[in-house]
Amino acid sequence: MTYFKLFTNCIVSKGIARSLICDLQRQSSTLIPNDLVAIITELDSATSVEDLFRQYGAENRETISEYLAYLTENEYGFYCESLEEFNRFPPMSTAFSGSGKITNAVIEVSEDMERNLGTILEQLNGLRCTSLVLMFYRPMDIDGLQSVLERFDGTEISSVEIVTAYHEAVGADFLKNLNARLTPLTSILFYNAPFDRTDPWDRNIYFDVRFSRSNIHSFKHCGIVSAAYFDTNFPKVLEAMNHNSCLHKKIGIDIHGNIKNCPAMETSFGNIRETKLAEALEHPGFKQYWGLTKDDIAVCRDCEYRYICTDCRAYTGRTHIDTGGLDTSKPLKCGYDPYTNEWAEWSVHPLRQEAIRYYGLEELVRNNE
Amino acid sequence: MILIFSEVNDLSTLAVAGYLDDYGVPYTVVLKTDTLRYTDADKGTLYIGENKICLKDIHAVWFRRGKFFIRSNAFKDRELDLYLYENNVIIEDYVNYKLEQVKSIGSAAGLHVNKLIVLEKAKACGLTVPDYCLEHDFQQQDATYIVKGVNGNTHFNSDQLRIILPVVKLNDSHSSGLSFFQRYTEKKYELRIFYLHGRFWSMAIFSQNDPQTTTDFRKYNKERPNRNIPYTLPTAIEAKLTCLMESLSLNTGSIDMIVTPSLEHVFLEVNPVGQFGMVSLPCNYNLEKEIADFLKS
Repeated sequence: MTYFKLFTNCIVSKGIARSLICDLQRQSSTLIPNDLVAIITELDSATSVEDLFRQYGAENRETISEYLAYLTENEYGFYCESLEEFNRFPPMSTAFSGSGKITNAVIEVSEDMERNLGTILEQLNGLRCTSLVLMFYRPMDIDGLQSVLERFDGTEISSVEIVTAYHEAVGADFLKNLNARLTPLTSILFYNAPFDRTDPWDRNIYFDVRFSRSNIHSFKHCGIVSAAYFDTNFPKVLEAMNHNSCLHKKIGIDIHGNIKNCPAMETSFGNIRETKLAEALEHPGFKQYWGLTKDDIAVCRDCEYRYICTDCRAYTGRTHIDTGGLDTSKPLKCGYDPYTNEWAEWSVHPLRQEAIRYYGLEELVRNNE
Repeated sequence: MILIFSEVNDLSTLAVAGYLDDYGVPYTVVLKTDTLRYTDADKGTLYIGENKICLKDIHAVWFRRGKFFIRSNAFKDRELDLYLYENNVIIEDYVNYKLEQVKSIGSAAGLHVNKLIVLEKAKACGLTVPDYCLEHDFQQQDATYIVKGVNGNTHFNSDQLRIILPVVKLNDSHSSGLSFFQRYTEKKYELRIFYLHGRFWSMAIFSQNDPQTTTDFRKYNKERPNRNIPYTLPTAIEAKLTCLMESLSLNTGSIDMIVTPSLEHVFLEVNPVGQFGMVSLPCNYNLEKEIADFLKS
């Protein structure tokens, strides 16, 4: 008897109308029909290839052969010569693990906060946060940025993304100066730029530089779900299968100093002026969304992309609340319909207008039109 | 207190340390650049730079990289330097011996193994090993042998003999120094196995699909990397490997094996300080946490 095993680091994410093979090793995903999922499921439950052909009958013989050829040619699976060999390949654990109380933080840095950034970074370092996004809703000169980056000396924070306004002085010399000393800066986005462009890091500039014509003056720009943001990243997929793909181990500080799970969310767990980040983190409500996966969220639970997509709990369709009071509605800014497999512009959907008004996103929506 | 001998920026050490931080368990990482001393005071005291640790407070030791050592002062006086060195060796051996008395991963002694002894013991434990021989002048017109440095080195280059990373299939007559020849074993997949105190975590590497990595998977193919997935060893093989590790007095190590097209398990080698990250990560075994849990308990 011959058996067929899907490589156990390829995970089938079954959607209601079609599915996805998430290849965690090669970090890419491919759409597959649900007919193929049924066959994979059958084979994975130790049905021999011979029995499978028998079950599906002569009329499906060719289709199944094509499917098996597809899986082997793309190295999604392999043949085993016996049940004994088949059983030597256990499923890969899909548990997510990693140390640290917080892994990532987002800070909207007001001018007031900029002066006290040192104490905030010290606290984040104590929580062993390793990556950080700093939002400056204003232009920053080179001295200002350098002095911000100097505050990271002696911390374990290894990745810093900066968002700031474009201004005349931003050019090759500006970036070279920013690169003059080794800092954890991994990317910088200049919004309000005269053009859209991305320059990936290279041997001269050690961080990605992005220019965007869009105007960012609040966190309302965030939470967009788009195929461009899909990412079959091994640990990120595991995290999405077990936790909320945006909010898990995240801490946010909004422009007023309020400590939140994400700066765009409503609930505050204290202000940075009087509350320590570690204290806010201990608040019973702080982690309420950390365990909410896409499998718990309306519509998303039927979507084939749910494990490679980023969730948003700050802006939702406001249609579903679970028994524990958690908002389990689909993210507002997602235009994908897993039932028809079609993408549409989220902001014009008639059923979303109420939520758009609720969050005060009318202006943002108008500007994007 | 947990003592960890390691190197600066070793990712596995940092990952394990992260879990120890989560647990709030005290630990000290000793780097090769640290200046170490030992005194008899207070039932034995280690100095790591200015940091002082009593031997009796150490409940677990991880010999990740290196062991207790005393850097000798060079007085440029041959006799004096030799005298001090001999003294230091005795103190080093004693401290390492004491450190091995507590729960430990790795050992001060077991940083190196002798390939020939390992293969002999593997056979004695019932493991299948490829045919091998030591030859001065290997004139046999046999393409089924591969040559390796007997010391396990994979780089060697001279006028007489050239070993290209990591192995060459021997396809013409070959005149060399004393070399280690091993019969090439056909494989269905390779196994990388991490062993820790009687437990096994195995990974199968499907390198045979790719001609670029057929002889040794370390010749990576970046475009389409070999498939690496979790694997369960037959219990009979686990028992034989445990026998081998025990007979080598190794409590941890990285084991290389081959599964042949006829599904036979063939033992290749064991590395006492092997990387486990390359098994842990692809298989999502989270060995870093296993190690932290072991050290903590």
